[in-house]
Amino acid sequence: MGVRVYQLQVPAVASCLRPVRAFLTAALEDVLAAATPAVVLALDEACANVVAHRARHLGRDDVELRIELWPDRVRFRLAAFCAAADLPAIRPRDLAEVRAGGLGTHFVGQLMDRVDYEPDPQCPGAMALLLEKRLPPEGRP
Amino acid sequence: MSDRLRVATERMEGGQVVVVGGEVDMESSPRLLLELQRCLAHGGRTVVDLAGVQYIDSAGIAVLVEALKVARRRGQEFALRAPSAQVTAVLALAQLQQFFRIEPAPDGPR
Repeated sequence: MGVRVYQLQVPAVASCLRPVRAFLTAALEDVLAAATPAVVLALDEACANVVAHRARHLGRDDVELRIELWPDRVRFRLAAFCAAADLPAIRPRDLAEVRAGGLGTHFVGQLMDRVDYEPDPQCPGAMALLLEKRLPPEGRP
Repeated sequence: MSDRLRVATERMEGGQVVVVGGEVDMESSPRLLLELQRCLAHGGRTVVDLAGVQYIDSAGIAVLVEALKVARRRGQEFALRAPSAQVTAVLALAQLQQFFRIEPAPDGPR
C-alpha cells in the first residue's frame, strides 16, 4: 500500500488555526479514529507555536505542513518550526507549577509518539518539526 | 465544524457565571480573558461554565490559569462548572485539575 500525502500552507496568523484543525480532522479521522482529537490538538499547538514566534522565523510568514499517511503511522513535518538557535529553549513546563508557559510543548510531547527536529533546507538557520503517531494495529489496513 | 467562541455572563447571587461555548484557542482566548477579568473586577464569586466548549487548547487553559491567579490574589472564589469531555481531557493532560475547584452542572432548567 502506498503513502498518501497532504500538503497544507496557510498564513501564520491565529485566524488560520481553526480551518487547519478542520482540515486535519477531515484528513485524519478515517485512519486515526479515536486518536484524532489528540493528534489535532498536538498539531494545533505546534502550528500555534509557529504563529506566536513567526517573527523569528527568518522572514517566513506562513505555516507549511506536510502530512504522510503510512500504513502503520502518520508522519507530520512542520517547516521552519523554529530557529536552530532557539531549539534549546523549547521545553515543556515544570508541571509542579501552576502556570501555562510551555504547556503546548508538553501537550505535543505527551500526545505524539515521536517528536524530532531536522535542519530545514528551504529555510537556512531554521529547524523543521517532525511528529509521528503510530496507528493502532486494529486500525491498520 | 464546531462554533466559534461564545461568551455570555449571567448574574447570580454573590457573583456571576460566565457561560462559554464553542472553541477557545489562540485566536479567541483573549476575548475570554477580557470577560473573566471584567467579572473578577466586579468582585464576588466567578463560575466559568464550560459545558458547551467543544475545543480548548493551551491558550485557553492559560486564560483559566490567569483568571484563577487573579482570583486567588484578590481572595475571590473562582470555579469551573461542568467542563466538557474535551476540556476535562485537556485539563488532565496539563495536570491542572487539582488546582481548580470543579463543580457539576446545576440541577434543573437553567
